[in-house]
Amino acid sequence: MESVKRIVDAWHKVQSGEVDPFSVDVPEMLINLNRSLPDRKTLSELVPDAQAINAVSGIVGEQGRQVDFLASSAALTPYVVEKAIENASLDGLAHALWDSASPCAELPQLTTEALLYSLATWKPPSKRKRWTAREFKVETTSIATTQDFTTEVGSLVSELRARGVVDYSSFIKEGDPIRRAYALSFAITYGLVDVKVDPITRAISIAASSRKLKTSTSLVIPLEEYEVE
Amino acid sequence: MNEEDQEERTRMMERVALAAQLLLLKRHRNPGVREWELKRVLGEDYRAVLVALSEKLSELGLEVKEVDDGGTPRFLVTIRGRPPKGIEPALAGYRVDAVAALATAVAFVAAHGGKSPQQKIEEVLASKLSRTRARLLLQRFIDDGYLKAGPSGSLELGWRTSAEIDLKELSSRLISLSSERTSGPDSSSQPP
Repeated sequence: MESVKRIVDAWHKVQSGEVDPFSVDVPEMLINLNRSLPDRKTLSELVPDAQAINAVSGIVGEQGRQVDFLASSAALTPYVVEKAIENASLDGLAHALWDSASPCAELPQLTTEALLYSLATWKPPSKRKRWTAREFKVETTSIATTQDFTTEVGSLVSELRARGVVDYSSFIKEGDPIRRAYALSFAITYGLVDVKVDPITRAISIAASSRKLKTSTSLVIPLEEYEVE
Repeated sequence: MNEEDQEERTRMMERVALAAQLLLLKRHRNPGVREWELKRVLGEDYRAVLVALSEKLSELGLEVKEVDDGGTPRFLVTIRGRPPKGIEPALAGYRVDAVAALATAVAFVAAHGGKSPQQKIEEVLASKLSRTRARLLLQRFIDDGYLKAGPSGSLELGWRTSAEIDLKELSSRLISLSSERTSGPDSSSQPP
């Protein structure tokens, strides 16, 4: 059993490139397997034997592949490569490769089809552009003082309390969406408004909480997704 | 040439132009077109079109090559022969140090029979570059098709290496590079 394990281990090492397939003594492996075969009677003894035979054939296959590769490609030896790498500069190595390469020829450019496709997929971000391009002038808003702002948040909460559960998107669209979303975010953070996100539709619903929530909610709401004129 | 032959010739030239557009326009990260795509656009006899295209391209110093990419053929256009002398090495848009790293990795794998553990290649590259850069570059070489992941964490030469790099030429260049150094005036074996 020990010899079988050694053979399979050797095959794994050859497969990973750690061991040269020619450094493995295949005839000796086969002699050992042949010697131990008459002692194996049961199926559980014969299965590892078959695995060992498979491993040996894999090693022989790898030897064949390597012979093919060396015959068709290069006469490089690990020693030569290590010497060259050790001694040569990066520039020298780069030129060695450049002088033995036939680089691919490509024309990187846009086609009309690609442009049209890109335009089609660009639609949702065009709404995003409208949002980002929008100028938010602080001096023209009524959110000027803490007192005013607190009143604004309070009125939003009162409005919500009167209406019950409301869809977030439609709620902020009733007026200046940025201003309402901004004020609402404070109400949510203060625990005055409860937010629920449907895990399937991702629809956000809001409702005024009956009592101030002890844990504040943190939720990222991408405004770009909302179509607001 | 009768009218029918003339028509046939025109049709063939149109297909050759189509094949050139398919092969030359960069549409994905990696160059080249797979067989099924050529069959769909050019038809079952796409190989005849590619032969005609290769003849046309040879006048421009280019050629059509077929390589094995994971068991299926991939077709691409490469430079015929070697790139122009006297220009900076810039294979696949790499910087010089990345081209040097590619030379090292490809030569190392080739010298080990076309397969080597990733860890070993990384160590060799780290002797010339930083460990992080070596790791990043190895991943890039795999993504770009110069190397491919083999079984049990080994790396093998990829389809793009067989398309672009002449391993025999590279080995002779490296041999001359190492012999130049060892026999040069700055060699440590030489007396001062």
